[in-house]
Amino acid sequence: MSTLTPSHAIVLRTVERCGTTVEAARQLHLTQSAVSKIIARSEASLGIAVFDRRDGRLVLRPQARALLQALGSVEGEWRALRDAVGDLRSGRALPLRIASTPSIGQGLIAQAIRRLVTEYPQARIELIMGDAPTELSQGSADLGVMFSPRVTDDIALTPLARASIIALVREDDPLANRGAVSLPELRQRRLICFDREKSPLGWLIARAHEAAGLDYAPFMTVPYSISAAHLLARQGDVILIDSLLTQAQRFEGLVKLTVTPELPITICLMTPRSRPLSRLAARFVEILTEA
Amino acid sequence: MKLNALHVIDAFVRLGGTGEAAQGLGISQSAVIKSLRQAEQELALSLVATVQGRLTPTPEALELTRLARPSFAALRRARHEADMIRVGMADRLRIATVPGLAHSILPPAIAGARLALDDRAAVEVMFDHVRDHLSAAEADLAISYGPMAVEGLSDIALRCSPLVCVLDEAHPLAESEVLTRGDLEGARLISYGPDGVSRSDSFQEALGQAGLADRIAITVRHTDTACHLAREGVGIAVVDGFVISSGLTEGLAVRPLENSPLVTAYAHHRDGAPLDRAARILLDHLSAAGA
Repeated sequence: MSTLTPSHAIVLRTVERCGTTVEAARQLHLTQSAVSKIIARSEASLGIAVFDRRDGRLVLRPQARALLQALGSVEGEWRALRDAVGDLRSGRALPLRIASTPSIGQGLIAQAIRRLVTEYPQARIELIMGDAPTELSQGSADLGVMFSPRVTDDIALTPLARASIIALVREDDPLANRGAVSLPELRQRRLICFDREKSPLGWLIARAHEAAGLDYAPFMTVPYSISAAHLLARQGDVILIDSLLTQAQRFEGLVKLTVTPELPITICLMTPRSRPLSRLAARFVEILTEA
Repeated sequence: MKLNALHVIDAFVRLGGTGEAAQGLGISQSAVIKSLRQAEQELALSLVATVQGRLTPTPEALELTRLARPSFAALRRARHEADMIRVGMADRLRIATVPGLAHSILPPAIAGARLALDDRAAVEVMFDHVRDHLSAAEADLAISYGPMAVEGLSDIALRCSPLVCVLDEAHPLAESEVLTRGDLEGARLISYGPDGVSRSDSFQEALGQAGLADRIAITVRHTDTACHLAREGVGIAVVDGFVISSGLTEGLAVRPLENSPLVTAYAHHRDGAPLDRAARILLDHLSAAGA
């Protein structure tokens, strides 16, 4: 015996409204015999007669009034589900959550998002500025994009692009016209940079200082490159940050210097190994890796 | 969108794999996979991904299953209505309540109402999610321990009762006329746990005010269970005094709790829709018994 389906509910309610199978068939764009068959199947599956047949008309049995009301809920919920599937398909229902840093977010990710939204104009996207490995492990982000992150075994890393560490100084700084600078030349300068424990870039810069026989002692540590760029206050201060930020944004009154020898950094995509990606997230990964 | 396919997706998500879904549905694993792939095509959604060599539900599949729940519930309600018609209970009084009150104040009120209606009224009692049942018009009348304070639903305070202690007659504390909180120190207490749904629950508030909320060692859903456990000598049941009228405490000692806060039983119905005769008579009996 077939089970009651939402389509059956829609047919039964239309027949109740119209009173005849002919009119119901017309409204539902079905044949009259199809409507009659659905009524018979529905009544068989429910184990009750829903309609009385009187003078060629189908009249709802008084006992079945509450049933028709319940079938109304079936029809309403089914329509709502169909709409919700549309929202799922368009990317509106499940946001793509990307954990990253402002400099990567403004450059690489912004370009990839621009491509993604041409394909999914209604997609919802959340850019999370936080510790990407933690956000990913907790399930509060679907993807992470970071500089050389330290991650657990549950996270797969894919190298996406290379960048390097640069220095920023004020335009009235004696170094401003040099174009390049080495770490020993910055020995007497007040450094604004990343914490060696909290940031992979901080760890990398600290290691480069040690390799050059220098102490790594920034007078101010910041979580993101953009914070450092905004904090450069006094003449003589130097900030060491990633090169992506100045590619994405111009900072009035600041001059970029290449650091020699080069301190290369790798931007990595992080994906969870044990969780599948949504279609939107999978497409975003494709766009990022194609770039 | 096909109902059968949704059932397969639901089983796949709920049971966590295609093999498990096949076992649950009593079909072959290849039929499950075929159905999932067809649904992916039809809905243009990604539902299945291979993660660490295993077919796993995607975030879209999890969300779709969550969204489909109201449709499944509406179909279940429709089938239930048909069952009620089949057994001659199409015209019935539907009461949603919590187990604590279903076994105390409700039975005598139903007995009285049936007598007044010449034994003609069929009654369906449903437990839990009282507010949802009433709001969805699945119940005509509801009884709970607190006001719902929801627009469109009326709250009627029926009667109040202090907390009482139910214990085996052989228990040493049964010799006391009244029990204090101090008497209950060291005793294993049995009572109802919060249902996690009600916005206001005068029973839980009374337990808290009596300083017993964090003293309950065994939580139960039903008054009968609490009384049976007391009869077995497992502990002392702390319940509302409405239970005395139920007969469940026969052969047990019932002792008032000194200075007990009051528990209030409420009736609820939808505004606007007038109560039918059977519901009005039952409501009169519930109110009158407390007068």
